Amino acid sequence: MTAAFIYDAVRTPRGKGSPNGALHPLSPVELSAHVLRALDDRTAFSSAEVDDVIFGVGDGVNDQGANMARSAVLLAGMPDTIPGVTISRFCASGLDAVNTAAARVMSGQDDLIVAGGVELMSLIPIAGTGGPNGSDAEFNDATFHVPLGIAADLLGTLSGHTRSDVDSFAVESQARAAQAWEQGRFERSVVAVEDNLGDVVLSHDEHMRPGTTMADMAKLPAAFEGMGTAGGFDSVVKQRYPLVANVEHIHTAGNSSGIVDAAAAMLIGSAEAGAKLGLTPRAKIHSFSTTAMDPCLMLASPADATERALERSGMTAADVDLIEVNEAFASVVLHFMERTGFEHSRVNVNGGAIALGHPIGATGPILVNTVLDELERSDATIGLTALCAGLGHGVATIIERVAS
Amino acid sequence: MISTTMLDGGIAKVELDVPGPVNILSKQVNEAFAAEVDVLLGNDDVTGILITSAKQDFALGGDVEELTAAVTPQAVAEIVDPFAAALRRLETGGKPVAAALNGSTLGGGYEIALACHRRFAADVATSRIGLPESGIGLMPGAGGTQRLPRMIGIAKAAELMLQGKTLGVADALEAGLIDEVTSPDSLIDTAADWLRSAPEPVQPWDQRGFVAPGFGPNDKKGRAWFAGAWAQSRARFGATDAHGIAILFSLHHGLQRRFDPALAVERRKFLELASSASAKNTTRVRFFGPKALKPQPIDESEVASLGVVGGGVMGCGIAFAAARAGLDVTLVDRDADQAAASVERVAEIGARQVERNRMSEDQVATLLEKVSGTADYSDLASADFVIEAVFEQVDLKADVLSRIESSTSAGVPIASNTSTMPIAGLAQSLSDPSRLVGMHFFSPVETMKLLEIVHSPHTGAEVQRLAEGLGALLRKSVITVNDGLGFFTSRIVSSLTGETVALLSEGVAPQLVDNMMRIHGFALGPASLVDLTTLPLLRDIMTSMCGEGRQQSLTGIDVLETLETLIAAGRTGKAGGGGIYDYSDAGPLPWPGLVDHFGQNDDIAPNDVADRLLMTQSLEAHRALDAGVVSNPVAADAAASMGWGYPAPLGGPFAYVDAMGVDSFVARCDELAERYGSRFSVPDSLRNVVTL
Repeated sequence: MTAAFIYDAVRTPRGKGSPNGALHPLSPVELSAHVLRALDDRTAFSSAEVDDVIFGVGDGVNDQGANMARSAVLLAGMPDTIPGVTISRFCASGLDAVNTAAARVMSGQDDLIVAGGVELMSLIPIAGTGGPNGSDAEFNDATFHVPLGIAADLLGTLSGHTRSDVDSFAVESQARAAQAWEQGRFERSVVAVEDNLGDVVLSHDEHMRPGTTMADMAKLPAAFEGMGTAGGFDSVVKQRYPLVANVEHIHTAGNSSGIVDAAAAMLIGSAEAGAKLGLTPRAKIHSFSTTAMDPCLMLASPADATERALERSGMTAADVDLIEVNEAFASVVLHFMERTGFEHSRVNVNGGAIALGHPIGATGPILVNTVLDELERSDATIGLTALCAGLGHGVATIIERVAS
Repeated sequence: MISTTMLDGGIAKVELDVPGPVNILSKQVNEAFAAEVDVLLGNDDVTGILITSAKQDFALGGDVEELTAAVTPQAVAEIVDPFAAALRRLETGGKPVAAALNGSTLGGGYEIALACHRRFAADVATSRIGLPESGIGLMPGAGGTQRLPRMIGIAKAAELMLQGKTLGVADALEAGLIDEVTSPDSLIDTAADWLRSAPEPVQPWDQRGFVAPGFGPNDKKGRAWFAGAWAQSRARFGATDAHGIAILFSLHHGLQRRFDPALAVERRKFLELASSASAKNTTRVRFFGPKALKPQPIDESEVASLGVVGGGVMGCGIAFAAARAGLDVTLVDRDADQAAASVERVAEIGARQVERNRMSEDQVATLLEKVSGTADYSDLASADFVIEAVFEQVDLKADVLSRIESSTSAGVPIASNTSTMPIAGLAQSLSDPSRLVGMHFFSPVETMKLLEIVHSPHTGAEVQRLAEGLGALLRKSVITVNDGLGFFTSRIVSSLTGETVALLSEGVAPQLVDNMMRIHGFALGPASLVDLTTLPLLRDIMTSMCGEGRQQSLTGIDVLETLETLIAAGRTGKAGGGGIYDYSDAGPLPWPGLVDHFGQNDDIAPNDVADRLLMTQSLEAHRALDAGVVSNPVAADAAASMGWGYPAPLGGPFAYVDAMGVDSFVARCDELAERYGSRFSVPDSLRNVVTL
C-alpha cells in the first residue's frame, strides 16, 4: 500500500458566525479560494498534476452549494485541469475529505490531492440544507429525532455530568486557547484573510473569550431547556432511553461549540508526488475509521470511531500522544475521556471549538492540522483526531509525525 | 340518492339525498356521485354545477362501518378512489362548480366542498364544518389534506385536521373554510347567481405560479414548524399517533409538489392508515364504543329530584352534574355546617366552569338554585332517586344506606357510589335489597364522561331502568356490569396498578415503568398515577381489592406490603411532598429510598415491563368477561378509554389481544407466566381459540 503523507496545511482564522463577524462580508468561494492560494504559495501544488481537490461542506446550498472545491480552484485562477469535489457528512465533512484523500493516495489510484473544507455559518446556518431529519414526521418517528443540543444534554445526563463539570471544561478550553495564541502555537497554520482590496479583514480567531471564569459561565441560561420541555423533545428522549427520569439541561452557548466562519486546506500525497514538488512530509496518515450509532444519542460516537481506528492500526490508547476531539459540546469531550481513558492533559491541549469555534465543513482539516502542529512543537509522534457528526456518525484519523 | 334538476341559465342543481336520515357517503353513493359528475361535465347544456343536499345536513362524511370492514389498502382504495377521482374531474372539468352547504358539512362532505370553486354556506346555528377524521384515528383521504392547506396555509389546516376540529358557520368563514354565508332561504339563489356570472372554473392550485398562503414546507419556518409539530405529537402520544404522523407527512411532502402528485402522496398514506390496526382500534373506541355505551333514556319527569348523601368530592360532583341536567338536588351531610360547606363546594365547581368558559355565570346561578343542603334525612322523602357517596367504609355505607331506605318511599331506587365494594354485600343493609344499584362515578364527575352501573343479583328491573335513565339525564356514557369485587373498571385498573407496584417492589425504576407506558400512548405513567392517587388512598383501594374474591392479577405479588413500606417511610404521594418520586422545580426524580428498600433491578427488559402492564389488563378483562361481569368487549374497551385513558389506538384491553393476534398473545403470556408468575396464566376461554 502506498503511504499517504501530509505535506502542509493552512487555515483561516475563525470569524464569528454572525452578521457582525469579520468574514461574513466574504463569500464561501472567496474564503475557499483564499486557503487554496495560501496552500499553493507554500507548496506550489497547482504546478503539479493535482488529482483532485476534495472539500468538506456541511451545508452546501445557495452560494455555498454545488461544488465548492472546483469553484474555488477556478476562482483562485488555478489551472482548468484541477478537478474538485464536495463531500458532506455534517460535522465530519472536512475530516472525511482528509480521509478520502488519504485513501485515494493509499490505494495508488491518485498521487496528490488537496483536502479541505469551508463553512460560512453566518450565511448558511447549520442544517440550512434540510434533509428528512426534522421535517419528516415518519423519519423522525423511526429515528427519535432530536436537535443536537438535546442530544448533548442527553449524553450529559447519561454520563452524570453536572453544569459545573461542563462549565469547568469550557473555562479550561478558553484558557488553553488563549495560551496557545499567546505563545504563537497556531502561527504556522493560520493565514490572515485579505479581501479584494488587500486589506486584512481577520488575522486572529474571533470567537474566543480569554479570561472567561466560572462566574461568567454560570450566568448563561441553559440553551436547550425550552425545546426540551415546552418543545416536547425531552419526552422523545425518554421514549428512546426510558431509564432517563429527567433530562439535565446543562449545555449553554458558553459550553457548546462556537458558530464561526472559516476555511482550511491540506496537501496530501505520496512520497513521490511530494518529492517532485521538493516538499518534505510532515506526517503520515496512519489509519482512519468511520462509525455510526443511534442517531438520537449520536454524540458518543468519537469514542467508537477512536476505538475502531486504534484497533485497525494495531495501536492502543497508550500509543497516542495527543488527541483533538471536536468540542461540539463539553459533554462530548468529557464522555470521550471517560470512555477511552485519555487524560485531559493529552486532549485538546490548545483549546477547542468551545473557545475557537466549529466551522462545520472546515473543522476536520483544522483539527488534524492543529494536532500536527502540536506534535511538532512538543516533539511527539502519534496524534488522533475524532469528531461526532449528525445522524450518529463518528469519524477518526490517526497521524504519525515524520521526524525531519 | 343523487338527484339533479336544472335551474335557469344552464345551472344543474345536484342534490345529495342518500336514503336514511342523513347523507353518508358510502362506496355506492360515491360511485353514483362520480357517474353524475361525468354526465354533467359531458352535457353541453350545463354551464355550471351547484351541489347541495336534500337533507338537513349537507353530508356528514364517509360510511364508517364500510371503511372499518376494509382491512387492506386495496379494499380502502375501492371505496375512496372513485370519489377522489370524481372530485378531481369536477374541479378541472371546465365548468364552474359551487357548493351550497345547507347544513353540517363534515369529512368527505367537506372534501366535496373543497373541490368546488366557491363554497356558500347557509347561516344555520347547528351547522358544523370541517375535517374531523382524526377523531376516529383517520385522516382526510379525498384531497382534504392537500386542498385545505392550499386555501388557508399549512399551520391553520394542520391544527384543524390534527385535532379533528370542526367549526360553526361564522368561525368557518373567518378561518377561510367557506367563502360566503347567506340566509338559508337565499342559499341556492346566491350560489346559482354566482355560477351564472360565468366565473373562471379553475382552482387556485391549478393556476400557474400558485403559492399556498403561509410558510412553505421547506422554508426555514416551515421546516422548524414540522419538526416542532412532530415532537409535540410524539411527546403526547408516544408511538401511537399514526394518523397525526400521516397527516404531517402528507402536508410536508404534498405541499412541495404539484397538485396531482400531491394527491398521490395523500392517497398512499391514507390507504396505509385506513387499513391499519391503529385506525380500526381508534374508530372502534371513539365511534362504535360511545354507541355501545349510550344509555336508554327515560322521561325526565321520572327522576326529577335527586337525593345525594355525602358532600365530598364525589357527592358534590354528582350534585353539580345533576343540577346542571335540570334535576332538583337535595344534598345531605352530617350536620348543618357540613351541609352548607358542601353546597359551597358545589358552587366552587360552578366557578371553575365559568373560569374555563364552559358555562356562563347565569347558567351556574340557575343551577345552584336547584341544590339545597340539609342534615335531615327526612328531606329525602320527596326524592325520586337517592345516591350515597360517603367514604368507602363498609360500616359507614351500611348505616347510611339503611337510613336512606327508612327515609324514602318503598321502591325509590338507591344507588351506592363505590369504586370497588360489591353491591350484593352492601344490599344486605337494606330490608329490600332490590332497591340498591351501584353507580360508580369517575372524578371529576362534572367532566368525566363515564358512569359504571353495577347490578347485584338482587337489583330490581325497574331500579336498573331508572339508574340507566338517570345516567342518560346526566349525559353519561354508561357501562352496565354485573357485581363483583371492583366491578369492571376498578378490577382492570387495579391489575395495572398492582403490576406497577409489583415492578417497583422488584426494584424496577419507576421512570422506566412510566416511560414505557408513555411510549404506548398513556398520557400519564402508572407510577406517576400512584403518586397522584396518593399512597394511603391507594392502600385503602388495594386493601379492598385484595380482600375476599381477590382477582388473579393480584395474586403472588406484594402490593399491600410494598405500599405499607412506602407509607411507613413517609412517602404519601405528590401532594404530600413525595411518593414514588421526589418533586422539585427540576421535575420528578425517583425517590432514592426505592433502591434502599427494593434494590435496583436491571435484569427486566423494558419490553417485559410494558407487556406486563398491558397484558395483565387484557388477561383480567377476559377473566371479567368469563365471569359475566361484562358482556360487550366494544363497550368495555370504550370504557377503558374514557375511564382510565387507555390509548384508543391500542384499542382497549380486549382489542389489544385481537390486534396482536390471540396466538401471539397467548404465547407471550405463557412466557410472562413462566418468568413472573401464574397471574399471567391465560384463561381457557382464550387458550381454546388458539389456532396452532
